[in-house]
Amino acid sequence: MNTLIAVGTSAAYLYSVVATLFPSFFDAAGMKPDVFFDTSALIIVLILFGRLLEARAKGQTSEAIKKLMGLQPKTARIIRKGKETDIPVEEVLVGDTVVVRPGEKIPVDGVVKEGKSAVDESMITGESIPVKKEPGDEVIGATINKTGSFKFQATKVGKDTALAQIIKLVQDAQGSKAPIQRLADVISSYFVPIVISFAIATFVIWFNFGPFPSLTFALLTFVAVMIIACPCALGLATPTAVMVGTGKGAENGILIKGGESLETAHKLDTIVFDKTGTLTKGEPEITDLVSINAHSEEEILKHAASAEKVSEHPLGDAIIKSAIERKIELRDPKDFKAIEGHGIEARVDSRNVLLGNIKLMKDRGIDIKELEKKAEEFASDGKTPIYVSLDGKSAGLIAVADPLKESSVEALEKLKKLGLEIVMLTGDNRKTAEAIARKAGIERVLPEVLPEDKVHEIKKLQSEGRRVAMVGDGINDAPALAQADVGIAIGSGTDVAMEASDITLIKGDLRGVASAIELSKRTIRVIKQNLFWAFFYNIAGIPVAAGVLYPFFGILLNPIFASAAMAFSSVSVVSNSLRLRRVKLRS
Amino acid sequence: MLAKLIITVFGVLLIVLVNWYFFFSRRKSTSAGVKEGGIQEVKIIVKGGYDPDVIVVKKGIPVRLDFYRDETADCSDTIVFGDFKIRKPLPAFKTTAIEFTPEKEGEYVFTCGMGMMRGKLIVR
Repeated sequence: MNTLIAVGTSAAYLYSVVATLFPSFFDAAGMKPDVFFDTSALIIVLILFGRLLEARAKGQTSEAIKKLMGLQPKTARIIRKGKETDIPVEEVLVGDTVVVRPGEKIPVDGVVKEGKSAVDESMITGESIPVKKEPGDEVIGATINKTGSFKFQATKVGKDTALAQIIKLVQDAQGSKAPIQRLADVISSYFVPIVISFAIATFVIWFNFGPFPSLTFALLTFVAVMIIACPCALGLATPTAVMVGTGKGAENGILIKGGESLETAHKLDTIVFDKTGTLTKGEPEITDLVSINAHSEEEILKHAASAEKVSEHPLGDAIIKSAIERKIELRDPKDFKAIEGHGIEARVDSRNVLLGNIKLMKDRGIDIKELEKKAEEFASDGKTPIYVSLDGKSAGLIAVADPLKESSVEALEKLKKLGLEIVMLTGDNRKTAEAIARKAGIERVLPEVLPEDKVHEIKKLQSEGRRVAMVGDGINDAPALAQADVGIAIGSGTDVAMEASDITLIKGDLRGVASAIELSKRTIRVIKQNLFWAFFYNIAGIPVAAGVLYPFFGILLNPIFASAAMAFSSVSVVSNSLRLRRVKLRS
Repeated sequence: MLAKLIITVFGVLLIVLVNWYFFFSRRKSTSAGVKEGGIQEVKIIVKGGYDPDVIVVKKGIPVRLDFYRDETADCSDTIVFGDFKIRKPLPAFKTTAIEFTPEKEGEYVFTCGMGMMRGKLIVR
């Protein structure tokens, strides 16, 4: 841009100098010795004014990253040699015990060891309600401690903290290029020589064929072409929108990997959810308890939970948790045996406890007729029925289910409104899977998928010509997240999942998925508007400046207006990108 | 008549010259020297363009490019290495270091924030 403005204004200025010093030369050639000092000066004033506005607006596009950097606390209060000391945050080491008082910023990431409090994590996760913290809970650096004092052990410092990683991710995203930008990039690289060539041609044509005074016309159109051409608008169209869009996402706990992810996300038509831990809480719990043959519910639960004490099955954990909640005293099981794929067997209080599925009961010849109907009901409701038998006789039935997250149904509805088909992927059997899908309002279910087959299911959907997003967490999901057109990792997630995904939602709330897709749609819309404007402006503006309208309507563009148009053009592109800051992401 | 002929010939020559300068003139390439600590380092002056604008580095060795922005014109206020996901502001009259390790051979374009000013990084 500078080249064009400099050549244009210098030409007008030098011409005027010659016309001032040697007017007789022009008179002798039958030309008018016009001067354009004012034009040169005004063009420069207008362009500089435009630049000022543009620089201010451009500064705002990177506000989100500046805000994130500003979150970093400066000092930490740690306990060394039994004494509390304030040290610069850079000097905190992994393993240090850090003390945080109410109202203070948590300096680094760690695990609470002593004390209780509520922590405002909104600056990192976008979650507006303070989160309770107790010993064993993780705390994130840069979040604000609200109510109580606590001590925690530092687990991540320096560039390993969640904040540092978020900043790095956002910086990378803002430095990345969106494929949509390619054409603009190619044009930008040829822009200056093409415009200079076009301006010279304009000069020659006006000089040869223009009306009297042709030299003045030739000079004015030459300058106008040089000035009106605005490569800035083309160059700013995409990066400013990507910067504002990714920054806006980061403010709401949505980390987008880059321009390419944004662009693919807006074209999605199918979204696959992993069930466990994504749609559901990932922590099974007891939903129903049935007791027969004069056994009490407590008795069933006590024996079942005691037998499960040494098992490592997630369903067992749910039973134990429920027993503890009901303050039932558990015993140590004897002769524990896990029967792969069927259930468990153990002795509790010298009674023989058998816990498992229908197959196990039938194998052992236990009469379960009385419970079978109830079990079927549970299964068709998406719950897993577990038969309990005591001393070889049917005693009861425990139904365990992994409940849907509260936000799931609402999130799925939003996604449907965005026109996406939702698919649920799970290892559960068809019956259970379909029951949960019904509750969540999902029509297409892919049941009985082993973790290692998730990738194939995504590939299959892609081979149907779909653009697929995969939402998941955990290491199991990493290959599927990478295979999907857009991988969306939720929750604080593992680092592996974050690496493999295109979008990371810091908060485990599924509504963030809809927000992320909406944000990508809005950002791409702004980029398209910007690119259209930038192309249209140059394609229409340059010929008008060259005087194509003059032969037909007698209209010739004054270079001063050309400079105003040019200044307005780049400012308008940046301002349009800044509109993204006002997008409301309802999550 | 003569004036018209002169202007036409001069104009055509000028167009040829401009396009030759932008597209065909040979750019001087600079190879990075490996400094202590095994870092390849090149100093680049930013003033209406990049000098040098063709930089040759070796694959697999960390690279440090010191950009000194010798102007206030805001065209050059950002440097972008799209292939390396780097977008960094260049404050005027200061040196800004860009550091990365190129792992693949090839030619990588670096530009200003708007893609107008260009340079090339050749990794061998």
